[in-house]
Amino acid sequence: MAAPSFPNYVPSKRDFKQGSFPTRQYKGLSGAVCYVTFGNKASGYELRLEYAAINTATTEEIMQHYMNTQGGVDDFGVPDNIWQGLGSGIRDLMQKPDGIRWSYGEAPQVESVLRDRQNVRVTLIGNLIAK
Amino acid sequence: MSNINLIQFLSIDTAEWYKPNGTATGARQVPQSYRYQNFFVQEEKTLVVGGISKKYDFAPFRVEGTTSSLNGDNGVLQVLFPYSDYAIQLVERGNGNRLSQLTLYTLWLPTSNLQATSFSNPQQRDYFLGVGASFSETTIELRFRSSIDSVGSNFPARSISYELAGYLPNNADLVLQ
Repeated sequence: MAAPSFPNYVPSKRDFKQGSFPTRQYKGLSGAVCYVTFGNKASGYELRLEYAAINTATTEEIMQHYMNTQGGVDDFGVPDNIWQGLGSGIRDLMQKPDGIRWSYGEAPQVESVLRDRQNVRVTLIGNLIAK
Repeated sequence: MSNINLIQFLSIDTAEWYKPNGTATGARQVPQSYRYQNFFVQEEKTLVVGGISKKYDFAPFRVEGTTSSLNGDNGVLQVLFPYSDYAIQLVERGNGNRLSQLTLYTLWLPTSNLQATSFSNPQQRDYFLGVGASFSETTIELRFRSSIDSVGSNFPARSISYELAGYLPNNADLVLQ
C-alpha cells in the first residue's frame, strides 16, 4: 500500500546502492561459469540518508513518517529534494527504478548532538512489490 | 560466459461446486483456471501451446522437488506462494488443493529473447494432481504428485486402466480393484 512521500528535506549525506538481478552462478571445476536468471528486474536497492544537526520538528516529521508507514510495511515515494545535485538521467535511475517501491529498511536512528539538534540516519530499501 | 533465463508458467485448474443463481438444485463441478508466470515482474505474458494462446499474470511462486526414478515412484512437486488472497483462493477452490490439476511449462531462454510479449514451444511440460496444502505465517505451499509415472514390473500385464486401478492413481502402490 502506498503511503505519503518521505519528508522532502535535503540530506547532508546520501549513499545509494543499485539493486541486483535474481541470478545464481554455477562454477565448474574448470573455472567456467554459467548463470541462471530467475527474473527480469533488479531489486534490493538501498538508500542511506544522513541529516546532520537538524531541528526537532524535522526529526519528529521523519519519525512520524516511519510510524505512518507501519515501520516499513507501506511503500512510499522519495521526493525530489532527496536527490539534489544529480542530473536527470542518473536521478531517474536512482529515484524510480523500474517497478521499485521504497520502504524503510530499518527504524530511523536519532542522535542528539545539541539542544534542539539531532543527527538522523535513515535506511530505505527499494524492492519489487508482488501483488 | 553463458547465461540462461529460467521461466515457469503454471496453470492450475481448481474444481469448485457451482450453483446457478436462484436454483436449489443443479449444482455442478466447474473447473476454474488460474494462470501465472514467475519471471516477468508485474507484467502479463502470453504462452502459446498447441496453437492456443493464454495470458499469464505475474505471481512470485517457486517450484521445487520433481523427481523421477526407475521404480515407478510418482514425482512430487511443491509450489510455494506468498501468503496472499489469490493463493488462499487457489487452495480453497481446489478443496484444500485436493481437486486441483496443475500444468507446469518451463522455458529456458537466452536474454535476447526476453523482450517478447508472447512465448511458445515450452521445452518442458509436466502434469500434476493436487494432494494437499499447508500454511505458514508467510507462505502457502501447494503439494502435487504426478498423476502416473510408470507401472512396476510386478504389475499384471504391465499395463494400467481405469478398470484395473480405479480413479486417478497418484501413488505407485497400485491396488487392483
